[in-house]
Amino acid sequence: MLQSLLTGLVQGSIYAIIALGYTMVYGILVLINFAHGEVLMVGAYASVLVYAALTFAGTTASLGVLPCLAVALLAAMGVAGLYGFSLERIAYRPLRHAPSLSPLISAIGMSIFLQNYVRLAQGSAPVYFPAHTAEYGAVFGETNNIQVGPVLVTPLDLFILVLCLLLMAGLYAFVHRTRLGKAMRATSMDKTMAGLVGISVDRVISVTFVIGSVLAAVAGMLLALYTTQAKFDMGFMAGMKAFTAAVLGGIGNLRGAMLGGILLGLAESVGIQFLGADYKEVYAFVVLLLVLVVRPRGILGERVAEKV
Amino acid sequence: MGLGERLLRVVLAAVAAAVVSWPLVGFTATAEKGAVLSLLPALRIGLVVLALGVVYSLWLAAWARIPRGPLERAGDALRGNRALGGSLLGALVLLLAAVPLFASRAWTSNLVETLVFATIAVGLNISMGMAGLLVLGHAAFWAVGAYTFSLLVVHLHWNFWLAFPAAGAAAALAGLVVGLPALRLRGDYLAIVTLGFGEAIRWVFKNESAVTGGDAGIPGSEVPGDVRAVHGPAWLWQPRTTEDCYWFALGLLVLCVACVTLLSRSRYGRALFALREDETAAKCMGIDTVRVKLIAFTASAFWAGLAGVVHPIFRGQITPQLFDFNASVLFVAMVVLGGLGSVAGSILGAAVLFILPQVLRDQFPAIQEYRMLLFGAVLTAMMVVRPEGLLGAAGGGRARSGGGGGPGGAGEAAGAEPGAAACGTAAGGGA
Repeated sequence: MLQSLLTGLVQGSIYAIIALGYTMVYGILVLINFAHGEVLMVGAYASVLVYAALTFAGTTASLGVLPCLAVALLAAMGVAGLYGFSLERIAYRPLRHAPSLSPLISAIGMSIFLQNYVRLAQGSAPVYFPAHTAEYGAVFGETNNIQVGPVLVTPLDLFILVLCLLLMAGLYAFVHRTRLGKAMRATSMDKTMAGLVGISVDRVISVTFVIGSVLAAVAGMLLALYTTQAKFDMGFMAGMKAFTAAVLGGIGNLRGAMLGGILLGLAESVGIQFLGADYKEVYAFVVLLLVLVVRPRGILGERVAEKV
Repeated sequence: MGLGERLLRVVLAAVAAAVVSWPLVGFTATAEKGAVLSLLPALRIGLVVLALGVVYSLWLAAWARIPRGPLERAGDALRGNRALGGSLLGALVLLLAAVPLFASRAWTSNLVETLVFATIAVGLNISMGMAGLLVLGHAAFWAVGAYTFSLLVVHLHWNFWLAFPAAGAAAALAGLVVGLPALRLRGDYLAIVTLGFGEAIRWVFKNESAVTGGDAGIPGSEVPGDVRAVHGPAWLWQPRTTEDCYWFALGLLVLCVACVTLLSRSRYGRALFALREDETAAKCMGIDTVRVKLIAFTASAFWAGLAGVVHPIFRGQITPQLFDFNASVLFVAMVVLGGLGSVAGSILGAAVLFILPQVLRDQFPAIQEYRMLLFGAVLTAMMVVRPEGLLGAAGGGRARSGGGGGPGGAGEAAGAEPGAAACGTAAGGGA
């Protein structure tokens, strides 16, 4: 039981990181960024490719695993950031004043495009994270497992949890403590007014996309580590779950996305523990339905007065 | 923007495309070959973008010189003249009905699926286009219809003409059940609930294999039987062959278009349009929004359920994979691409989105590999060039449209009242 809570927490914190990207974009553009999962997939590929290249070159053995992981992570963040930025320029910016469902379709188009682009470039078979090397085992192997009471914590669990917590804290500080963060909050409240007080709305939107994509890249690498592979369609289910998490917490709300992600992860692993894995993909939606019936705007969503 | 500036932008875009694509196309790392770097694929992508961009720029420049008058006048004449429009429509239906007599088997079966998707898209247009509700799980209602029909025929040996309305009724009931709690929610919250319902239904059909045949489908290894079997009087016609399915699907589409057009011109139709434009104002005008929404939602589900009858007969089998999230997304794309609120647009959207991949597959086998890639790119490009949809009037959905913003500078279809869009045949203006 406690063990499955830990699994839920680990998966949930990955969901939370992805959900943050959804919720930030939604907060500013009121747009479901359907291609967010694909940006995650691109990030996962970048990290696996770079780490694998480093392994083959023997750098992981000489430099150590953690610095190489950091390099792979940075590369993934860079590539995904670039993709997020381009995505906004190509598919969303021209549609900023279009009827509200048009950007959604354009996003779906990009999502199909990116999946097939990566499938053609890297093949439809998954690429594997080289997790069988001695130096990888020395850091993430079973010998380093920690027994906390009845719960077995693997080094990977710990790595994921710490990284996710750091990112969430970092993002929270960024949004609430920096000038750019303040500009983001202002833009999400009212784009026109933000423009009138001298905020470059286009730039803020670009930054939002880049940050969301960078977070997605981290989540992508963590998923690749967790499942030891990256595949061209991995973004779909992860994106779906994370979007559900964002709605669960109250979309547009940063704390909501974190809470929603973790709750979703917990609901899923506890559901599997008690109800079996047959309906694994459905538990998340059941929880969502129950929450939305009671709180139609998510757990932390505020009841906003309708502007007329 | 002049041609020179546009070409400069094209060059910049090509360079950007090469740079952005390089990390994924120019770099592989496998255990067998180690890490391999190459510049060639990225350069090739840059060149493709460059070529497409140049062609597009030249085309835009040429398009601007074509006088627009005669085309628009023809469109206006058609719209103004109801008798002419009506007889053209009748001729079109007759022509479509004759298709199986001269088209190849392959094309007839392509068209069967197109007709089914068009029916579902026109139905979905009631809740999405008219009422402005985003539904991301519409495949579920299609699935409910298809499974209800197959189960009734295979397990209970119902006659086709009994099981057919039952499929619609079951889907409508499902719509009602989902709609009751879900319609308290607005916009994207509703979208995610319908999405969840769509996935949940699919898993039920997948997992309850004793009744539904699981992954193998109906009829399959676990549930044998024949969905095409004739139960009841033999003189009663029922669709069995591909041609039968074609005519049946065409009839269903015509019926659906007639009903939806009538609905859009009725009191309820006007209430739905009011709801889409401004929910709060509609409420203030005394419209019972929950009731109206529920009717729209149920009606959409009903048509999807009826359309679900065709696939089991046509293919002889259904499996849960047919009704996945991609199908739901495809339906939404058909409605939006065609133009929200336009019945003719939904049909056109369905035709474009279903036939486009087929044509790509059959006519250009060389690019078979790139089929879905192109599909995605075309979907985005179409939205960017014409955000209001192919036949859509401006100003659908929640946001009020603020003028054509795409690089094509697509003008808005001038002041067409939403209901009139149902007559269709708007002369396509933009690129």
